[in-house]
Amino acid sequence: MKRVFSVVLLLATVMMLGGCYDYSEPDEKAWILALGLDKGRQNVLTVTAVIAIPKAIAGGGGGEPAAGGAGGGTFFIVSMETPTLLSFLELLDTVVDRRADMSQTKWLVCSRELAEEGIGRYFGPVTRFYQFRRSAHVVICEGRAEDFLEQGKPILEDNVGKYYELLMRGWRYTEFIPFDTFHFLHLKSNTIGVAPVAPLAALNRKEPVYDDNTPKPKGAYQAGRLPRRGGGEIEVMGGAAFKAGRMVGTLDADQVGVQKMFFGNLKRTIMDVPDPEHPGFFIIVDVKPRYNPRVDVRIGEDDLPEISVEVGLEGTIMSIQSGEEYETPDRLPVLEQAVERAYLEDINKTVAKSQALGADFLGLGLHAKKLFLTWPQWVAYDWDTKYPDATINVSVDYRVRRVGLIHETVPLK
Amino acid sequence: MSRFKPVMGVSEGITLLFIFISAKVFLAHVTFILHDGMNASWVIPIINTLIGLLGVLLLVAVLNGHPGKDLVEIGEELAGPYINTLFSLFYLAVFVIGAGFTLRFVSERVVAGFLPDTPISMVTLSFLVGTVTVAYLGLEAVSRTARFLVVVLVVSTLALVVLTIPFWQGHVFYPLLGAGVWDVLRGALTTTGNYVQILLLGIIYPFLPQGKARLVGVWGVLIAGFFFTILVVVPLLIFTFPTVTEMSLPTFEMSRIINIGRFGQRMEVVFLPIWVFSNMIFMAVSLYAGAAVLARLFKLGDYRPFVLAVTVFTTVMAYMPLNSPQASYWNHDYLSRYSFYVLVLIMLILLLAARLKGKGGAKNEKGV
Amino acid sequence: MFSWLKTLSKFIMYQKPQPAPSVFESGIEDRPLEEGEKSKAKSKAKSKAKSKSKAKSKSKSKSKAGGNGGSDTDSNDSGQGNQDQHQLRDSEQNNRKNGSRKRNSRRGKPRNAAIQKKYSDKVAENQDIDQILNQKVELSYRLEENKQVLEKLFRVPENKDAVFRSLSIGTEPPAQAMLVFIDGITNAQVQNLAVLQPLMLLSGARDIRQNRKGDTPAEAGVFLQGQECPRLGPGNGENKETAVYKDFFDRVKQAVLPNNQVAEGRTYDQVVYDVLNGNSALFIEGYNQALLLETKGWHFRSVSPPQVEAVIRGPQEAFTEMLRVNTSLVRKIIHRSSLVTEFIKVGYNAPMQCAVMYVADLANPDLVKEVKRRLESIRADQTYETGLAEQMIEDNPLHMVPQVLTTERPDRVAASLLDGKVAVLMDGNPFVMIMPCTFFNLMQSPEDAYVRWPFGAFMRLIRYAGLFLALLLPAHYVAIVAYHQEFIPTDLLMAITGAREKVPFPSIVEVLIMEAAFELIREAGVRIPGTIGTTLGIVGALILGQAAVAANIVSPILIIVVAVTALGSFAIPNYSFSLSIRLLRFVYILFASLSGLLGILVGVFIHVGVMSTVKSFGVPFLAPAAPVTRKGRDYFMRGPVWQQETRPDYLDPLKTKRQPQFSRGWLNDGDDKGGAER
Repeated sequence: MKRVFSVVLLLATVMMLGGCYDYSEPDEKAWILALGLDKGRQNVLTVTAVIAIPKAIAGGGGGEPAAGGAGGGTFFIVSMETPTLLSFLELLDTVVDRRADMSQTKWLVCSRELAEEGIGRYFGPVTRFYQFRRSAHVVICEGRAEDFLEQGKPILEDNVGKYYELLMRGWRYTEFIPFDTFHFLHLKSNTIGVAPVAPLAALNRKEPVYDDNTPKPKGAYQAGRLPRRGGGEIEVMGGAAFKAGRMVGTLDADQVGVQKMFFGNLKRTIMDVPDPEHPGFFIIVDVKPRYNPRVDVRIGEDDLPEISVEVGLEGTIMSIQSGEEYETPDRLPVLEQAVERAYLEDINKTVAKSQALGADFLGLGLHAKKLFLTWPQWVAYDWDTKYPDATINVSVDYRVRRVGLIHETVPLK
Repeated sequence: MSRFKPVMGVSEGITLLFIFISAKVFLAHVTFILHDGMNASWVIPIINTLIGLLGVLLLVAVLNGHPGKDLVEIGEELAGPYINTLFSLFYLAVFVIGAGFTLRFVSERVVAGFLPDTPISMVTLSFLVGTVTVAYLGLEAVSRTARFLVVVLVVSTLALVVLTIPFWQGHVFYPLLGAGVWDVLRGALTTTGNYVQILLLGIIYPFLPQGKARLVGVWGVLIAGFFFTILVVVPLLIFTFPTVTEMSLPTFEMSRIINIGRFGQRMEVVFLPIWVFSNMIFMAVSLYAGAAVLARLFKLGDYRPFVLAVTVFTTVMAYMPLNSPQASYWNHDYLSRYSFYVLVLIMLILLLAARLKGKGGAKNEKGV
Repeated sequence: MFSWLKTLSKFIMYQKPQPAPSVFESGIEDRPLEEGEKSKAKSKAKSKAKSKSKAKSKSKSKSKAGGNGGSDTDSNDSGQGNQDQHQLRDSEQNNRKNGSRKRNSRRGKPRNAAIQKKYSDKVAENQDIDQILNQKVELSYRLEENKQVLEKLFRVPENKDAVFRSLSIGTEPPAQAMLVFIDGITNAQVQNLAVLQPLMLLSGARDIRQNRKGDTPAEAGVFLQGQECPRLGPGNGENKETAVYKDFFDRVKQAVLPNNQVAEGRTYDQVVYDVLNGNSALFIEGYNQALLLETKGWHFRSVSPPQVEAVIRGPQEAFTEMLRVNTSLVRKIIHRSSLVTEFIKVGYNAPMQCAVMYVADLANPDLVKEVKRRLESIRADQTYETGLAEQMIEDNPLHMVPQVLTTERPDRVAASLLDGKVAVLMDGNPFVMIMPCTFFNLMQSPEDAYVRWPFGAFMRLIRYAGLFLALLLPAHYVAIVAYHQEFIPTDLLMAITGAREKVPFPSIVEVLIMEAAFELIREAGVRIPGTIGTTLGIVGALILGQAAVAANIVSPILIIVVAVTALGSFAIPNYSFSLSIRLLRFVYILFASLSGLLGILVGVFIHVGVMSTVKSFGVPFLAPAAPVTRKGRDYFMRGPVWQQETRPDYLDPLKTKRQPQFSRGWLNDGDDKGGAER
């Protein structure tokens, strides 16, 4: 017993002498909350780091919280020209007194320009280096990422990290924001038969986007083309479709919604459907998926896939602008068919886009996989080249389940 | 402590055996299975478990012929001291190599994921301090520690599995046959070495309750098989086939992607006990078992003088590979592939010797 | 482990103003020779003493058996086993005496050689007096001689506590007698009414009545005058009434003294022991015996609510310092004839009365035997407290965990006894040791059982959470703040970092400062005199509060950590376990500061490993979790009371079933076999 004790004691002492290698106080580290990647001006890359200023966020040890000022002053930006992403981490320590740490990074922002060249090569460090996380988001921004990050100041939050996270959280209650985190982005990039969609973001565009006020579905907008005034500088809407680690095109908000529905990530969305009997009026319905789309793939005689998709939706009537009585059981199908037509159009547009881009971001290939017995056979089929020529039939089935608080509308007199 | 013969219940026996077999599932070993079976890799641990089950039954058949003796003593009796020395060296090698590579892996993992600036020798040292202490305290301490901590292990492992459910993707099972029937089967047959650790049963046999060895062996293998299977299936479900093969530590990555709201992210620290405890138990068992084999081999009544010796072997073994990929490849090549067949061969020789010597057979039927 | 440290410190701090003893004096040179000789001598002495004491004890017990056989009222509180015990101790004492004296000579002169030399006459005198006790010198027939010896023993006249009350028994003619007792620990009322009054006033009345019958004229006078006491055997007199008594002494005992417990003492040693325990010894001229009368009457605290183990629901009484009251408190709960209270004298220099309680048809006899064996073998100088005795009988004194459960609650003792455990009560001590004790026992409170089971289970869960927090929270704070910051949610991390900006210390120092401050407050809180107790609260609030934060000494989050840790440690129901947790917390903080969570986990691994080797009276400390034994529904969580069907398996009780499977007889109509099986 004594001997064991003394051995333990001795070793503990030895450990004490040599220990504490990784000991570091949180106030000795610079917390990078977002990283921006741009094409470099003087080197390969311009990397931008958003570094939090904790004392401004926490209120500096018992004092007053930071003066509001639109969240200004709670972070600062460092941009540097570097050959690679990780060399930036070391370069940063020459500028920032505290040791830079990326383990709290929420966003990896790539400029569209860089993404279109291909960012697959930058995924490497993210998967390999322990400070990055797969739960971070890769955001594609219009314009340069350094400007985007510099001007993207939160209004409601002091903590810019929370701002980034909450912005991405919108996927739960809108259809505009894609679901794919870095984890899925990486996964889908590696997998045959599916392609990822990253969130698209931009700074507020000051000049008008459209020159008339003709009706446009809300889903036709995307980041950078969102007519608005006020709010923060950042807007996140729509997606960037990738193929083989390279951005191949953008999706508008409705297309992102369809994409999410195919993966079961669409929780709900609101649709403005043109009134079938009163042109110029809208019926507004709430749409939720009833089941995940049922995809049936056959390999046709010409070795090309024939895909039929059955989409089941349900929802609530939220508003009928014209005051037409669609709520009675015999009239409901009229409304349901209108919704189905509208949604089918969305889906068809999305499918067409997907085939045009050659990127199967709807994941139809994952269903085609089931037709094959072994992996090598599936690889040999070469889905990616066959997908653009596939025939795809979509049917939509929408059911109104409830009508909200109004039982039957009384038209305006 | 060593004055008394250690006593071990069935529950402790099962716990010890299943942790000893399945601790490596938290390390890089799984990756090789995934390479072999592609997206049908989950079949491999199931086949492995069945093979392991057969092995354990064979082992129990040998052991039950000689109640109260462990494998080394039985070998001495049946095969004579010279051949038995060879056998014992094999047992020792299994324990020492296993412990050595495990020590290396788990230290590498800690360095890679938690303490990047700490020299690996420090990490190794802290693991050794814990395991040597407990191994020195004896089989009772090892088994009871394992039994006490297994709750933590099982609960955290299941939590790890359950918390990743949102990331599971059902399509990974297709194409159904993965790499193809023969490739999967070949993968299974060349990774049976994952069950060579059933050898432990031969060392702890004298301390188990009479007649319970088969129960312990079968349940130990089955529970280990369960964890083996789910920890191959779940990474597969999360990361899907081609991506999952690129990770060196699938369970670590699993813990890293867990995301339960803004508060519950980056939880790998919470699951650190899984890796640390399972591998420390594995190493403590190895150190004890290695020392016990040496003690039997040298016909000493006390294992304790050998604990430090085995620790030295283990540490040397841990630092033999030049880098961590080499460690995992060596481990795969030397331990996970064919070692199980060597063990089975030894068992068969012993059974045959028992038959030839005449008395083993009769006892065998009684004992079983 | 620390012996070398002790030696070193002794070496360094040795500052006696004396010349260093020469080589010869220190005995280095002549050790081998002496040792051989000594050991021989020792063994001889030992064997001699042993044989002697054996013979003696044999004869003693025989004679006593004879003496006790006649008298059925003869039940003294030290009991027969007690006296055997006494002899045992003495014989061993003899051995030791011889041995220890020899040992002194081996080490050269004893350390206080100078003192011994200076007061050699005193020392010699003391040794002579000790001889009287150790060699079991029998009482004399002469009252005066007895008095002289006893005065010597009690150091009268310097010692004013011992009282020698001369009296004459009111017979015709009066018999000279003497009452010896220690003032202050006897009950004067009892002495006056139950001893002195009957002896001096009422004994005569009976005599007169007997005399009137006229069968034995002046029997008292006959043997008062003679040097030897003539036996009044049955053949001597035909008188039926006097034939009942052997002699006058016996008659005094049987018929005169209305004292509830009376015993006879034959040696000085017995008398001294009883007198020291508050009894009175009555000597009668012409008899070489003394009557030991129960007159205990020292002051003691009355039964009061528990101070340490308070409960809301459940009995509100705790043990007191009075052994007899304590045993009665237990017996009050367990109405069972098989509840046994054995008395053992524990200790060496000032032995203490100690009661071992167990339920004879439940407790494992081996366990009882082992407990008694350990208690009897204690040779400690001081054993007047359970804490001292505990340290002498625990299995692994090097371990951090208590291996004996100490409680002040009779209901808890009763519950444990009914489980098949053994309780040791010690005189003058309101704490009772229960053994064996496991980890799960230490975390239980009696109240768990008294409230309905879901709440009992919940309370236990809270307590385990408290244990975890008390042991590991500060360590985890250090580990996470200094090593694993990525785990902290970003908002919290910003808050922690921002709050730490102006704190000059590293987190580990901060934690150590605050934990040390807290320990200081707690220690001071225990020691602080009651009148200034309120100041402590103010000081404590300042240290552990806003002031420390405002002064930028610590970060505000740490205050919460320390406070929660404190709450956790107060939730641990067992005091000595909580002490060990308090200490180990610092070890874990150290581990955490070395290598973060890895350090903590390695620490936990070693901790569990070491804990799993601890045994309490042969029962593994972590039973029934590791090793696994059959579990009732009351080891980790509390199950419903009607499901508590088996006693803890690890105790190997004589009856495993607590209650039949259908313990609620009313459930199956008419079949109220409920408690029949007991």
